[in-house]
Amino acid sequence: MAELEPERATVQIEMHLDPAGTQVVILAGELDSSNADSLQERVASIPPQPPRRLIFDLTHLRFMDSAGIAVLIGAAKASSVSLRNPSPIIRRVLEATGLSGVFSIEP
Amino acid sequence: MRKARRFDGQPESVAGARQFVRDVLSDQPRETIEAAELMTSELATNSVRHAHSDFELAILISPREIRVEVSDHGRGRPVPRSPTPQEWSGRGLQIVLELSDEWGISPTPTGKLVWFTLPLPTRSAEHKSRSATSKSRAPEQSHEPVVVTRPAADSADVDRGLVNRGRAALC
Repeated sequence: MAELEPERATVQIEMHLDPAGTQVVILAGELDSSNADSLQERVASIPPQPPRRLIFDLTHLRFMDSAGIAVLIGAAKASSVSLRNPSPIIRRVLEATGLSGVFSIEP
Repeated sequence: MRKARRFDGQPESVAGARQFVRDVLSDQPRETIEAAELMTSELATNSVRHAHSDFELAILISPREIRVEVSDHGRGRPVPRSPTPQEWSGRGLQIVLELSDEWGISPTPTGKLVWFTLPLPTRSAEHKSRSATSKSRAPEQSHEPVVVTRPAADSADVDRGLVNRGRAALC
């Protein structure tokens, strides 16, 4: 009998334009396959005004797996995407999977 | 030491599996915990999304290594892919083979078991050296992921010669 598991991933998504007019998406919490769609919907709602540049601020994102990375890759198809402060494990994954060149990593 | 827990086959269960990893490995280095948590998330997601199955997560800590096993009722055999940088999906097992020391897939009487190992810190230097060697192996010397033909929970030493080591399994 499977146990009921109360834990679930929650992700907070906040979007704003920085002083330079660049769209910043601030993520916090945990991003996985159970909630990646919510980020996908928010990203899709960003008006496609070229040249489009997106900054994903990952400073407070405690966890992200391949479901979250997939959303970032999707965003990078239409925009120049920067990742701000990815965690060491995310940096390691991006390098190991050959994705470092898809994003600008800050710092 | 072996600790195990069964989880419902719901997407929300994956976060609980990660929490279980963090709790059981709380004494381990942060790098080890984060790698185990990420790989567990990928395997648990595969169980829920592809096998449409509840799953059992087991963590075995020995003097030499940490071994994490995710077993479900799916009969399909997951195969690692090498998606291009433009592809969205297909990176779960790729992450496992990149971050793990060794990993493998075993059929069980009720489905399959996917496992990976991480070296314990006291032997990390030796494991890193061996891992680097295996990852630079020429393609013709590598092998496909091998199915171990019995439950692997208590056979880590016996099946060592059959398992996948790092990236060589992709070639």
